Amino acid sequence: MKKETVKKLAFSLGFVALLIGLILLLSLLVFSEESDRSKGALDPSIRGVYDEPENTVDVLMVGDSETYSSLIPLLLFEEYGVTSYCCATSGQLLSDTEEILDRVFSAQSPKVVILETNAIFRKVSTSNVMLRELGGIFSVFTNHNKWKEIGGNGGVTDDESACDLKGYRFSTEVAAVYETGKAKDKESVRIASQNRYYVEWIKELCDENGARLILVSAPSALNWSEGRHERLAALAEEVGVAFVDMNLLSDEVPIDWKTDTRDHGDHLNYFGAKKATAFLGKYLSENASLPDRRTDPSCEAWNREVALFHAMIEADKPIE
Amino acid sequence: MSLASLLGAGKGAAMTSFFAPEFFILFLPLAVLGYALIPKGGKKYWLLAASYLFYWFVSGALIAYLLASTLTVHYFGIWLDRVQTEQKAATAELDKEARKTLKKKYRKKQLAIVWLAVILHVGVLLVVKYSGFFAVNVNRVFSAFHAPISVRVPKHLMPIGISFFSLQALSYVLDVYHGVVKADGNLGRLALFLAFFPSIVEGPICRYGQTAERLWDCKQIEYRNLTRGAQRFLFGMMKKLVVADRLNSFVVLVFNDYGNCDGGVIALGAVLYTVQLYMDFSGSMDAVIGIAEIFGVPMPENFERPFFSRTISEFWKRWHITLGAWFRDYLFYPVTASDKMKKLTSSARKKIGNHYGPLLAGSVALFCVWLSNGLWHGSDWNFIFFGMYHFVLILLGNLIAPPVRWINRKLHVNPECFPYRLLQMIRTTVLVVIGELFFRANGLLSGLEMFGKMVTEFSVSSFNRAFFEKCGLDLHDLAIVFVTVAIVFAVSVWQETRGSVRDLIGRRHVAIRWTIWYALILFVLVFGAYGFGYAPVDPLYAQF
Repeated sequence: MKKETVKKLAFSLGFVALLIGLILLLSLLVFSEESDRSKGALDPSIRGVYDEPENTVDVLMVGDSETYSSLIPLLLFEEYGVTSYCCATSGQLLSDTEEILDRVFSAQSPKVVILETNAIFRKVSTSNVMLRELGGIFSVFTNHNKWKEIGGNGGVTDDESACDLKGYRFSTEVAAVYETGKAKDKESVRIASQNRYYVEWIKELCDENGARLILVSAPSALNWSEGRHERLAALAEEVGVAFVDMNLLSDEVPIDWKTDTRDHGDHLNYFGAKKATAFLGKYLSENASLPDRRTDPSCEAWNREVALFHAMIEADKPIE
Repeated sequence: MSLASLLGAGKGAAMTSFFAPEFFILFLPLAVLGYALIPKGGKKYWLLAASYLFYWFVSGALIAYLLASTLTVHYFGIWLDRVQTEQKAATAELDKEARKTLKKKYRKKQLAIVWLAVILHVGVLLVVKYSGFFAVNVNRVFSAFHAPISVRVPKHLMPIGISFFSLQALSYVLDVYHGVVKADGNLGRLALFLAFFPSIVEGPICRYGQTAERLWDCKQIEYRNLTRGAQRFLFGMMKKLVVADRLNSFVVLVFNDYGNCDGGVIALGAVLYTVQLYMDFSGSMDAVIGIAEIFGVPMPENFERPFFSRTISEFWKRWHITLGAWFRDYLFYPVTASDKMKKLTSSARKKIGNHYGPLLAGSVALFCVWLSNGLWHGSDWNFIFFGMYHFVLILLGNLIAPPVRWINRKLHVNPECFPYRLLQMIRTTVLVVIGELFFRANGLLSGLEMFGKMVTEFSVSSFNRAFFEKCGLDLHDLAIVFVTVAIVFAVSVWQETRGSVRDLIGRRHVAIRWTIWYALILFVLVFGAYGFGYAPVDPLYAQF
């Protein structure tokens, strides 16, 4: 080999080696998961779950924006004494769901995990899987978004007087559905094979941690279809989990698509979420034996939050 | 599970983006490594196989369109070549008059072959891309006349990049017809020219004479090409991952839910969409040109700092350059050079002078170009409007050029002074942003409504924290977008006034060079909008 070639090869290898060293250093010093447990929340909007006293959250809700728009943990507590937390994030992928659960299980022992089904139809790409694997070696790949928290709070309010909604996102906006009953091509509805695999994986993870997985479809005029219902029912049977589709329960969850949606039928607003949560509470009381924690001293703070929540509704304004 | 789905083949595969990890961490290094290790004779076949494999990953069975296009233009080229050879032989010993008559006959024959190629390629495009649009509009007409009939709206899967490789294929046939290039008897070379994996998704739309030979020649990978290509790729990655993908949620929210946004937010949405589109498309082009550079193939540039343009006409010479050049060479020139237009120009010249005379025929050609340009981008009325909008702006620019020059002279304004040029650049940018609003809108009606709101309801009351939370952005995101845009702007200013930034960095000491590249890599790694909370965004131009 020519001397010049050897020199260039050494140069290239040196560049790559130093780069790996820098990424490793960055992962360990700035973006590590161990340095602060709450940083393991992946997203600032759900890190509150780590502030809950250990093993006090009995129901964990995961999924995308359909979840945090439809289910109100504070109302579940008020009505049934069930402590829950909504670890939902915008556009959540099942690979994220699995990662979130894995991390939360280290701090909480929920008895029920509710997976809202909209995320099941969001395809987990090879990119997501690769990034996850890379994140296992270099945490900067997973936690890089925490740069927003360096020297600040990542946009999350630190206002002590503000109500902790336990992951729910409050909205009283009303934007009626344009058109209902839009027929969707049943045949075109598919659950990607990798997503199916992730649902199985999530089920296994829940089993290992003593939690019962339930698939729940929150009401959504825009996202629901008969085809989706059929695919989900088949998947639930295959995996061996319960499946509840609120879209078919118009008597129990009487959504009025003129008043109960904030964005033309995509997501529920507070009025719709109240109905969905009331149903979920009833369902859980009948199908899962969860403790009533309203008098549990470790959950005292929940009562304060419920009062704050009602004050906020009274004022009828979103949290600024 | 089928093998295809296991390998992620087909429409759903995310590898359309050059910045998806499976592309730049797996596919690209393997393609480069294989290319470097294979002996010279096999390199071209490796590159062709890699290109088809890539296309199969992103399009699955729709690769059939690419193969069919390649085979047909190959034989059309050979057919044209045969006719041209026949013509030469037949006219060699004829007198001038007889040669002219025979040439005309052969010209007609060649033209028929060209038309066949055009009809075939444009026909396929019409079916897969526009048939749904036509059917919807026919139904609208029926409904307007209360006719009790309707036509079925067809749905076709559109192969990724079809609009790009179809133009490239047609340019080859037209170049053979015009004698610009010789017909290629080597099917493999033509296939690689059409399928080269970096450029098949979003272009640039290359000409046969620009890349075919270099691709087939397959030079050994050189250290300099490798590093410079990687640097260009990295810069594109910064544009796409840090800015374009980060802005996506904001843009989607504004354009899908403009009813709940006030005029100020819509205006910001239009500006940020323009930024997103530029960062996305030019970033992808940086990747394409960078990858081609690694293989030692110079690709034509598709962007030349378009926001420094002083007129809309200049803008389109700096934005999507290869598309503009295609329409110029294969539509504008042929229309203006046609006999009817030549006659029109010469008679108009006599009546309305040397400036406005040629403008008449030029405007007819310009209309054809912009109608085609609009339609090329998509099958909806907003795309046609987008084309017509630019046609009118360029036409107006041509019409008012003499009076503006006269006014400047009278007022002693130097059009070359910086403030004047700056004003022209700002004006051009504003016009471009308005055009992009219609381009991105979900239909012409939405575009008009958005524009109406922007003008009549301009306020920023809905521009609050809740709005940003709704689209998953906060001030940190906006700050990082601002910083990155400032970096791109600084690089652009340097390129516009001094030259290559890579050359500038390359001349520095190794410690400075490495520090800069490490900083850029870590910048993308930390500030990129990827991973948790971000859905991968396909390249915006791949859908065209």
